[in-house]
Amino acid sequence: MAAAAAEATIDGGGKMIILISADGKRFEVTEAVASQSQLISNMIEDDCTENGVRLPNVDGDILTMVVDYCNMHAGDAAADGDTTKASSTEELKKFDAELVQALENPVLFKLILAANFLNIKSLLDMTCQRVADMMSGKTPEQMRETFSIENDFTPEEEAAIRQENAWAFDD
Amino acid sequence: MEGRSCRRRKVKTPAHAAGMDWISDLPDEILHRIMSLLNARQAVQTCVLSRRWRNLWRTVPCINADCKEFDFFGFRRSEVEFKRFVNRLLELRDPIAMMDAFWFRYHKLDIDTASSADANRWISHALQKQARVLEVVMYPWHQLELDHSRFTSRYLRKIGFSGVRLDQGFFKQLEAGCPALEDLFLHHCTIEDDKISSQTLKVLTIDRTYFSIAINASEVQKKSISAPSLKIENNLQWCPEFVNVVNLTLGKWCLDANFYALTVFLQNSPKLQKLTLKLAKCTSEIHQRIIGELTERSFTCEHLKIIEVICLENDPQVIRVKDFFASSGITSVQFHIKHWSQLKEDDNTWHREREAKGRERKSASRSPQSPFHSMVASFIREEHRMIRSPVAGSIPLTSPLEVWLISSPPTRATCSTKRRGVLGSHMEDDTAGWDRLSDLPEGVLHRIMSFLNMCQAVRTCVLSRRWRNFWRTVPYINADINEFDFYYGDNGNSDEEFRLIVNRLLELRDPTVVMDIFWL
Repeated sequence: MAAAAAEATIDGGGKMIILISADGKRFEVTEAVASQSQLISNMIEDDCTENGVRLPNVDGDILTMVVDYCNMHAGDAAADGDTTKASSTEELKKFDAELVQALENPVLFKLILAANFLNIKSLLDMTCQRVADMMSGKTPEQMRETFSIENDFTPEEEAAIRQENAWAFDD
Repeated sequence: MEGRSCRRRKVKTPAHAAGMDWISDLPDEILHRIMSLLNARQAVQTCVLSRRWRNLWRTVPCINADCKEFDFFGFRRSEVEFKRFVNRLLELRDPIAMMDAFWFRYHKLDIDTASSADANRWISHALQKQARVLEVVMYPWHQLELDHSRFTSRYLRKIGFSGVRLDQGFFKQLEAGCPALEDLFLHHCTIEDDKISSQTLKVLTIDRTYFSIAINASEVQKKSISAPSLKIENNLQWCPEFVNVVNLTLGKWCLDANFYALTVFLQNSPKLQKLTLKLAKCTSEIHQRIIGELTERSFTCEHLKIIEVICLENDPQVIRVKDFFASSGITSVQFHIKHWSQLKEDDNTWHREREAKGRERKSASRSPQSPFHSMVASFIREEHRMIRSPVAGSIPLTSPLEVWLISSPPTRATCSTKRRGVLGSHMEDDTAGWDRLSDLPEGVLHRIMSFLNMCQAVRTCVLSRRWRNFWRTVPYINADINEFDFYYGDNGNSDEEFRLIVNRLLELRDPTVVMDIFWL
């Protein structure tokens, strides 16, 4: 994460902002990188990022991933960046695909919550798509298994619900 | 009973190390976002997961309803079951829940307008629920007969239609009733209006769409389009007037007949800034399909800054294009030449573009199996699965009639070979050696044959007794000189042969049968 922050400094212009995770880790990023988060972008506009931005519901580990992601995608937002890495869309695609593929259950959902809280639309879209992919083509039983969802219906209740929605179930 | 409780116990002892139910703890808003990416049927099925999920589906803002989910009922019944499903879904949704995007795809087997009633009702429902995005994809059997009177919405921002018949008055209604509409995408549609105008459209895409009026009228009516960005990919046959077009994309056909179509476009696009020309992807595609003469060939495009040409390497046409502009006194433009080989992914151009657009844009309605573009792509695949097998060679033709601006759709031919791999997997469930094709109802076979070139369609007469006279009654005729050249080479004979065949065909068709579309 230190590396990510250091790289961010190299990326062209703008003031630096400090992001502070729930467990007190600090990340230094440029305004351009940070403003991919609509939340932070609004804070920058309101001029209240002076003393660092505290993010009480994002862990350091998750924030590391978010900052990496934002650094990678900084070129998207700041159209004519001279950043060598963001210029290649191929590379970006690969980065995104690898990131999302590697996500396991708890981390994936924490990342979704962080993207939602920080309001980073592209990251939220990408992670939600991943969950939808994991659900697609699965029966309710398989979904329960994949996500460890506890079936808290009684068998009678479940049968009644299936009956009621037979139009979506019959096969 | 016992089976069920077993299952419940199994779920409680999770397979993963991280065996906690994280997903159910997500806020409703995020779960809705995720469920918006699922097919509608699956989204509804989540109701049995647990109490938490019981009613979530009733408020999901994006609906992706696909007839494919009902394929297991068999071909004919799937339509009935699908309609039942969508009717129930809309009825049982939370009545106060708004809708963001509504996407549906199905096939309609009956030709009568009544069978479009369901779809029209769904569209009304979605618009009443303030949907911003509406996308409808029909399989290529019968087109959906749209009822334009339903299009009144302050929220509708984007429409995508494939296989839809837009009745007369549609564009007028859009202009009056949908003040927020910015993006209109038409593919394989039929347009009955003679005027397209809009104060709000930012992007209008017309791809392989028929203009029914121009076809049987000997005098071509003046059509006018006003929208800042316009793409016309594969066909059109009218004399256009583009009041506000800033970006324009045209296919290679616009160079025919000494740049006839291109000249017409340039004469009528006073605000044009960027022009994109997509030239041939293979060398055999050089034919004149347009017969037309202009007395006045000059044009002034004061704002034209960039001309982008996408072509094969060493395409001689590029020099012609440059000469054309130089001789017209347009000297200050920048030429950007791109090669098809550099645009590897660009095969089925239009839906690739849609895909890219979908990603960069804030469109919530895309699910992995059911985005608009891949749906259409897959129905193009289906076409080929049915058509390719019985007919070996292919010879299409072109016209003896006078036609304004027309092109051949090269993508049709390319996707059949490219998609073989995917095709294979689609066919797995087919029992090998069973002639499902001939069992299809007449209407469907006509629809299929409408996608064949004229000669192919005629040649089906030898397949079996069932096929003997089908070709005489096919409502659509696609005559294309392109494939005809296969047999006669480039030596100009093809023209003569082509005329002969079209004449014969028109003579031998069943005289009682009405023609729907005549494509040359």
